[in-house]
Amino acid sequence: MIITYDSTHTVAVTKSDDTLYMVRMFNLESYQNEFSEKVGGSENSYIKMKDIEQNSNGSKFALAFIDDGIFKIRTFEKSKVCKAGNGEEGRTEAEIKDSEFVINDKIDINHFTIPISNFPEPFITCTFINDDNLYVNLFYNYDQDHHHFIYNIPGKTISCHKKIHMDCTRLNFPYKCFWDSNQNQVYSFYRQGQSFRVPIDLETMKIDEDDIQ
Amino acid sequence: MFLINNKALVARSSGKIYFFKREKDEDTDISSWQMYNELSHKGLIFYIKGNVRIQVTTDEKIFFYMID
Repeated sequence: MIITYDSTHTVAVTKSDDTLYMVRMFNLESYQNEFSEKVGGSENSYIKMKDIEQNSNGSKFALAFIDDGIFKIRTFEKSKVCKAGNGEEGRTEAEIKDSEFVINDKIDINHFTIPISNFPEPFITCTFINDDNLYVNLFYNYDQDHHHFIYNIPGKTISCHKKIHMDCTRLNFPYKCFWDSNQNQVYSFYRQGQSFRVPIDLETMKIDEDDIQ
Repeated sequence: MFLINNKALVARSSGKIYFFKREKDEDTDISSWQMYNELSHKGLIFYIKGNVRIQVTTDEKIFFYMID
């Protein structure tokens, strides 16, 4: 659960069961539920989802999750989805699909990633670099590979994809990543202690591959 | 886990709170996260972005830290 950086709303990710998670946004003044949305919900779904990320002014949000081995990112803007008294309606299926990005095909991995039972960890984390770009990293535990890339939200494109093999067990996963706006770099931390420092040039929106530590 | 003011990393384990900061090895020119403080309490960390203060709440006490 997070409080938006403009201090107007709280956003909660809740689990119904392994096939269905809910995202809800509540107004902190009226306590009204102003946005609800399902993640999963079909009998073939197997969802793992934990954190919701927001941009620097709390107007845009991103959810990174895994659905039965398929990594996905879903984004939404508060001004477009938040409607007083419309908490249970949310977006249409077409709008949701339009805001969702399926990662596996783009980075050439299959659906063999198996999360840990009873852990909510989705094996994928992300953080906003600016309003339109997300840094995303995930752990493909079948081959023990770390993948990271930059996801452009309006264009629904990825760039600077890089794969790094990790010498660890399959029970490892990225726990959290942070954008350092002073140094223009991302810090990513794994469960078993590994960390990455990924410098990003904000003008070209490129990762300096030679400087990753 | 929180990154406080782009300077300090505060993380909790099942029984402790850890504080890390980045330090550069002048010989190898490689930076790494080094633990500089540890709180031997099981607790929760509360931090709001933009604030220099964090609170760690435990069963019996609340610890206030200023990261500046």
